[in-house]
Amino acid sequence: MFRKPTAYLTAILFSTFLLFSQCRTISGFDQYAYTQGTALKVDAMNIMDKATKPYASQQAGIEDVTTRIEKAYEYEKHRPQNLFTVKMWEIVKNPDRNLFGGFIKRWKEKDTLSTAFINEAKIQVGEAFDMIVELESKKIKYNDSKVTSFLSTNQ
Amino acid sequence: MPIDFNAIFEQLKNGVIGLAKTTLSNYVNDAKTDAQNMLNAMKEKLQRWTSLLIDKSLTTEDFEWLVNSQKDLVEMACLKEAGLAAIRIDQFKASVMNLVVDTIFSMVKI
Repeated sequence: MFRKPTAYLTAILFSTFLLFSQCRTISGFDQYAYTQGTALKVDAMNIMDKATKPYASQQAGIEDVTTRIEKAYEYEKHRPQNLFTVKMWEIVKNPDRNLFGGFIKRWKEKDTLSTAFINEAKIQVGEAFDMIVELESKKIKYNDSKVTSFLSTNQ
Repeated sequence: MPIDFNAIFEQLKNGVIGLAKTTLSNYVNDAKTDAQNMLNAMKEKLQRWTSLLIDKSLTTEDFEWLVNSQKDLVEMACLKEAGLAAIRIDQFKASVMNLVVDTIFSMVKI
């Protein structure tokens, strides 16, 4: 079937390459998603610091951050094989849970929040953002140059 | 040039077994460390929140909200660990691919 051994080896390499590149279990690293995660953490911490002031006086800033979180979530939702990150964002932004979304809901209900509560809630919300960013940072940075160069020189 | 396919496959087999052992043992160690760190952090937080509740810096409602936020963080940690396990699987697959390429390159000297 194969006229020379290198053709046979090329076939093995090509099959291996196809097999492993087509069946990823989780999305690869995405620089934009990583940058968004870290930037949104800083913005969320900054707006939470302002919760000693009346909700209405900070509404523009709150809406700005929540809108950007929604945009980040939409971006994550449309990346293939990204279920774990999407579920994590859903918990962070959900007003009926007790992380960023829940904090904003509580701020709106109470109008102002105490400094002690804000400080403790910031630790919790900060950890949630850190988990999203840590997961992204550990994703694989794919580089198939060795295989593609072998295949191109042995066709 | 004659190619010893049996030698290639034997080397690949040994390499894949070694990779599987390393990948699994590293993942289990990392997951254990993460879980232990989370438990330690949780204990410290509960102690701090209780003190703040006693000296009335936190209301009962604040305290309950924070305890529930910890439940959400545990769920987040489980999702993160599941994601890390998936990454390990993909790393294993990528390592197998590199092993195949490197083994063939080294034995055939193309």
